[in-house]
Amino acid sequence: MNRHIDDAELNDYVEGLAPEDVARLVDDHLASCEECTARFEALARLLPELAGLPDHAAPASDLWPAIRAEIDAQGAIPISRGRAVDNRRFSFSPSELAAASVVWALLSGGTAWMAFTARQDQAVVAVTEVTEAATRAESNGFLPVVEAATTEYEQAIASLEFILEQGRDQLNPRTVATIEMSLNAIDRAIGEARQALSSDPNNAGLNRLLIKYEQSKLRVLRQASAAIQI
Amino acid sequence: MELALVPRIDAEVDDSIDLGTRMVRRAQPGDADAFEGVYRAHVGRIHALCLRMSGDVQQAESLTQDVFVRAWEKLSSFRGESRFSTWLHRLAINVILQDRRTRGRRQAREQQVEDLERYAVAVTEAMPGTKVDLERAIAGLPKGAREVLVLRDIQGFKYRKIAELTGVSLGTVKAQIHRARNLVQEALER
Repeated sequence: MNRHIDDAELNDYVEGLAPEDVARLVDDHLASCEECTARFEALARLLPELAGLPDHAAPASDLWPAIRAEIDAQGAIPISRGRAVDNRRFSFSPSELAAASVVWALLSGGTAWMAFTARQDQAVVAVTEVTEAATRAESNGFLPVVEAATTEYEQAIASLEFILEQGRDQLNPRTVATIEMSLNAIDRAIGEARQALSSDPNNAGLNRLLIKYEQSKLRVLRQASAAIQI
Repeated sequence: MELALVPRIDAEVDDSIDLGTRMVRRAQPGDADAFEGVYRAHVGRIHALCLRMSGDVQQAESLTQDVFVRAWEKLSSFRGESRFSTWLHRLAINVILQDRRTRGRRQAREQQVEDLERYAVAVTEAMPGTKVDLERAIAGLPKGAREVLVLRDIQGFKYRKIAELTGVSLGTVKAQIHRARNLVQEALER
């Protein structure tokens, strides 16, 4: 090698990353070039010094009180976990709850009850899309959305059940029986999923199953309510 | 072949880390008191990372707080497939890099005029026995160069992983690190 060693070659050489043929050329060059040898020695000294710097640093003051205050202010009990699950009716993951929140958003509003059928397909599509988007957003954390979504979801179910109860006389008795049979089956499945989650709250598969059942319940109630004039 | 540099956080196995893992298990169901134990076990490493990546004492404290609040929020996603300290470390790097992206250019410029002497004093207090000249030289680097140098030469990440974390090409990462090393050497020679 007649020229000086460039930065990339030198760094790769010092770190043992240079291909063998390049390393041989660098070896040959270093044997005859004081300038590059000095650069090599300086870099070879620097890297162990950097790697040997302490990896612990004490903050000037105790940061825990501020962290605890922020945690408490958020009410940020981690979702889908033992104690949190026990205190909540649902134990959906944040992404699932966000999806449920959007379902509720689609179902709510002044004209929602009169436009259920038209919006039904939209809602199903939205659930899929938003679940995916929410999964990506989950890494950024959105506990306030989750907290709000839990309440909204419960309200959505309660409102639809109320509409169904108020308007059941408008429906064919056989239709009512079919709806009730479906809802009973879904409720049993929801109960079993919740029971399983109470002993394994971090199980993502169980959480997904639960949200699937809850969405089924929402769908059945929505279809039934759409046939009722209020 | 790339040298077998791995994050130091993986390399050290000691009682305090095992204790920390047990505290994580206790904290996961929502036990904030247990989470305080997690904080106490890991704050030293996380704060050192925040300090060097930011080059700013106040910002480092703010980042350290953010890291632990985020860790609390995401604790349920820790499955124990890796060491908790590794999981927390990765989360910390993401928080730090995300913070830099959201702060934008204006604050990045303000960061460069940080009082390096004041920083050096604070670092000496936070990390007794450290090489102050070296710390000052690192803190004086442009932000992007400082981050990749810390990740590579102090934290021990592989180039490819750094490219993945920072979202820039492998070639750019290597060039940034080589430049950062040159700048550190120049600063030490002054």
